[in-house]
Amino acid sequence: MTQAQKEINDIDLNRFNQIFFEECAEHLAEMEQILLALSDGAPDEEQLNAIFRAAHSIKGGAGIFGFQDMTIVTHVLESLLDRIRNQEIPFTTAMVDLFLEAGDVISMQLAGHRDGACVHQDAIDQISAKLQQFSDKSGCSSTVATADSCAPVSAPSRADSLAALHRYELEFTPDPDIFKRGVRVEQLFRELEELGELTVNAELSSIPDLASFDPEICNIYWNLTLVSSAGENDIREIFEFVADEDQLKVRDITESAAFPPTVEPLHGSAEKSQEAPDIAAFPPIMGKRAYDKNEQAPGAFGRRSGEADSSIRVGVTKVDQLINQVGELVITQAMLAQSAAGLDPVLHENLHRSILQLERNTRDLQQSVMSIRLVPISVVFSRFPRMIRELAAKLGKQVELKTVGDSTELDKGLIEKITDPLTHLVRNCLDHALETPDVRLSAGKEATGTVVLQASQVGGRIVIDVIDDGAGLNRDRILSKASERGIPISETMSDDDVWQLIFSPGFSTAEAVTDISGRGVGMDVVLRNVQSIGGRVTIASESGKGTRVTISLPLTLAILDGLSIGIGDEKFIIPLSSIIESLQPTKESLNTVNGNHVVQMRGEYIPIISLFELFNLKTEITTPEKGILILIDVDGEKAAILVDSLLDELQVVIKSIEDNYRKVEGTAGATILGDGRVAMILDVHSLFEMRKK
Amino acid sequence: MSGKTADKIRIPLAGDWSMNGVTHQIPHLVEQLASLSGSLSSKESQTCAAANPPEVVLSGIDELDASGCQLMATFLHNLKQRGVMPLLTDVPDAIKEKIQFLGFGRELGSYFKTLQVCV
Repeated sequence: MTQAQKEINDIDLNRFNQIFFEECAEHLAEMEQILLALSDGAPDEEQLNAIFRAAHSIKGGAGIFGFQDMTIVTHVLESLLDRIRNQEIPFTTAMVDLFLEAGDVISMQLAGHRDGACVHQDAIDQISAKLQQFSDKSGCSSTVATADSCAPVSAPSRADSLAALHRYELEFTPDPDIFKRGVRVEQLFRELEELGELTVNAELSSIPDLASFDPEICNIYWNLTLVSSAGENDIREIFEFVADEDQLKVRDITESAAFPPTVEPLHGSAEKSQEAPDIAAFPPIMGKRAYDKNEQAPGAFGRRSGEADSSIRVGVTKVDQLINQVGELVITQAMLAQSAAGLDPVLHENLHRSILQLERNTRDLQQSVMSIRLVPISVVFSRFPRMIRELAAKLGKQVELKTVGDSTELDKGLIEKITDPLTHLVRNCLDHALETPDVRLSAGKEATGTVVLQASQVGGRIVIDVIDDGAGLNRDRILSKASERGIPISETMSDDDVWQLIFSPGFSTAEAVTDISGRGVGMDVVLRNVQSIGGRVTIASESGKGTRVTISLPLTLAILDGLSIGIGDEKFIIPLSSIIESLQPTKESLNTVNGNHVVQMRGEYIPIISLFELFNLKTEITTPEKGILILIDVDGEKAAILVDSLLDELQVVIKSIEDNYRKVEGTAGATILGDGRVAMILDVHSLFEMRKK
Repeated sequence: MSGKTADKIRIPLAGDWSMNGVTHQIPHLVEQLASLSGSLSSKESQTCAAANPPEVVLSGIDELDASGCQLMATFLHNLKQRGVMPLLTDVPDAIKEKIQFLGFGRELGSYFKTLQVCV
């Protein structure tokens, strides 16, 4: 094999490994989710089956792809779960922690293979031993990583499973490159064997000449017979990594074969003897366990839905590339529209109509493409039940987590960057905000505190609230700590301003530094991270009642709907989502308060922000009565921006100017307009801050 | 390398017959095939080979997987196409089990038929 061929094969293998890694992570997440849901009581049959299925799938995939070390823990875990399913040993609440711990170890092994992360053999040995210990409690002496030496199927349960046996005929015609992909066919058959009684027959598709034969190309198809109580989906699931639907034909021939529901072993039957007369010397290979017999129920945990089957996995880089290309298309479309605007609409009617159509199509395309990157926030929320459970136990607190708006979607890039800030906030809730049960009871509250994670889409932004019903922020202590740290304060500061002090670097009011929090490296990091993705953090708190931390994020980081405005020779973009209205003020509606211009609108005095002053621009429109005011709203705070003219409503592709120039205060980036000019996109929130300064 | 012992041709197969090693087995097998084809050019030798078939010795095989089984079956079929019906001998139990488990029991089973002796 040449070096180039080897590299190509390595790339192929990596691609398939990557699929396994992703599937494995999903199985682990699913297992954890179900285990956490179990923590209050014993699992029902479906839940138990689902956990089992997750462990079973991980083990199967690991074996197929050659990650044998990952099969060790999963095997013992699977054996224990199977014994619980068969009611050989009772489920205990201690097993939840044990299974969670096992999941962590498997995650560690996964990270080891996927990212080259450090793998601690001690942890693997310890959890394997613990699982084995639980499994052995009923006196069965199965051994770690020995294939099913502890045959768990008791006589009654085996009889039960045989009551609904099916006979399947499978025709497996794998991809010719299956060997090169590192797929271990025997592992597939072992998985099948665990479902029931299996016979395997391999056939060569053709007899090539040995001199020209490539032994790495698979020239085999397999005919298999499986007698099992499992469903067709269970069989297909075993092949999910290695065979498309047309490469695996599964036929249930129970009725046509007049298969008797007998408990007699089928292996070594007369039929088989006739098929292979010369292999009597080979030892019979018996099926070991009849798994998944009760997972036929619709909606059973862990069962793949039809929708999941119809999805495909695409690399993020490919999606990003697509988004960039659509962004360029949006710019090109804008340029075309601008060029056409100068042409006579009567003489060039068709051109104008086509350009309008192009605009509509571009917008639809752009929305469709952007939606590909959207993922539900449940991806982030789902990590907190486990964290809260463990932290609460550590801190001796009782905490209930509620999530609202789990299906709210936001950009994948935002999801990745919001995870750490949210984790900080939730940890703070548990460590600082929520009281211990006795303190809560003495304060007239319920012993169990509540943390609410709530996501929603408000206008063009995603709002995430972290709400607790704890003690609330302590104004006096914050002021005192701020004073100690030399931060300028005054007793007349509003609550909102006092709460903002906790975002100061190194600020902490915790009495003691713990491994959970209290080092003061939390809130400033939260603020910085959120601001780095165009987000904002606000706090509302009431003593004794609780605290609400609100994170507001842009819907997407790539494209926004904006209004282009002119000031002198410059053009700017204001995000449409923050605009309420625009008006030409009369002299009577304008006033000055403390030297600042305000406009009176419907009984409200609204401060005026003069962009030409903020950005030091030359323009003839220097007074509000000569220009146009655009009323904007950011989180309930209003202001009126003075501009020379309103130009156009348009979609703009956000480009970072920091990468090529530097951060420009008051802006959220730049864009390229239809005429090829660069326009700054205004960050209205930071304009408010600039005005205050 | 094949060796003759009292007119008996023995073809030892050894080493790694899994995906990691199958490509390395090809030259040896092609050499054996050419050598056998050459030695069976006369009618007399063909008659003797039919009566005293070459033995393919599997005791030296360390690893075997589906790709190895495929290669073995292809090799045996190639021999058969040249008029030689070899016998698989000295098959370790583990290899036997693997052949059966991977479904090659029927494909390779016919090569385990009762030994015939050239008198």
